Amino acid sequence: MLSRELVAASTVPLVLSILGEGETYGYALIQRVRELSGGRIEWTEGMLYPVLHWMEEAGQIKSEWRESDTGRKRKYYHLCREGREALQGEREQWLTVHQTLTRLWKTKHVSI
Amino acid sequence: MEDKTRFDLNTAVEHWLETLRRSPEIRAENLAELESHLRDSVAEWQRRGLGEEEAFVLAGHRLGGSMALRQEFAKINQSRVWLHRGLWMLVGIQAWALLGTLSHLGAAAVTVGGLASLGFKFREPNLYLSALGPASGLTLTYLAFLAACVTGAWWLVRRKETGLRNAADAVLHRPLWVGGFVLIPLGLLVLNFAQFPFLAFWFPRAEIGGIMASKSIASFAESVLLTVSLPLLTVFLARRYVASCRPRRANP
Repeated sequence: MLSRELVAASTVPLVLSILGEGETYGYALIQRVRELSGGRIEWTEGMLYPVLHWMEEAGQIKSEWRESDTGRKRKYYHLCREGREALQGEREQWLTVHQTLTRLWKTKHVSI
Repeated sequence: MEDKTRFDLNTAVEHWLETLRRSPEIRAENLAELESHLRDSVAEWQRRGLGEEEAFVLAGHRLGGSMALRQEFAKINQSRVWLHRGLWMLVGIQAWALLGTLSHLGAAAVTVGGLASLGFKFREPNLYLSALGPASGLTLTYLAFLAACVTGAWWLVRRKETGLRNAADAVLHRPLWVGGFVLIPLGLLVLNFAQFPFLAFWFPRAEIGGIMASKSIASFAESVLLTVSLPLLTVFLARRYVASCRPRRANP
């Protein structure tokens, strides 16, 4: 299980990356995160929506209410140009952290 | 028999929505999205083999409790939260005006009427000295009325909290009713004015001067008391509130 702080910090890059694959809606977004993380990243599901709202206000994503195949209305989200730029920035930052930690742990691996 | 206890998904969802619909932190559009999520989640858990009721309970649990949801949504709906608070403040100001005027009129009716029925004469000569007695009577009765009103209001808030909150929410959700509150100060103005012809009808002109002098001294005394006691009350309540924010120290 991830710590609360890490879950909170990784929400925006996860949302940006999943929307980078194509448009989707909140519930499917959460399912995708669960599936990709093997259930190790668990969100309190309702907390995603204020984040999505904030990202839309920031101009990173856009939303649209549409009828789904079940006949009910759903709110679909897609990435905007600013969102793509934000995703690029997030990618560089997370890769930097990842690379640094991997290098450290590779050298220490022998001594553990 | 069985029909009465059978779980109905739409009723359960509606009940779940109802609790959140009254929260100022969550807008109607947010709620529509949460409902859409809840229904998707229920359908998914049913597909995995859970019964309708279990699926609903689990989906609701995963979505988050109403307190947690309200806290999170408050971050993005600040303006709506403040609008709600502002409305409450306006209602409070008008409720205060209502209590104040009712207490004034009540005190005047009891004191002036009571003294007159005891044969007391409100005399014009020696105006201020003879007015001091009735004025202190007026002030004391006013304070008693006000204390009774405030205690009554406090009792209502403490004992009938849910009923009161529901009634208040019902009013706040009907703008015309909120608008109706505008009529309260207007009504009070009319009531206040009506006391003059009433006095003129019941008392000889010579006594009205004495009554008005008593009333003006009393209202000055009341203003002084309120000016001192309201800030003191605010400080007292604020201290209690701040104390309840601090964690309790563990016993050594």
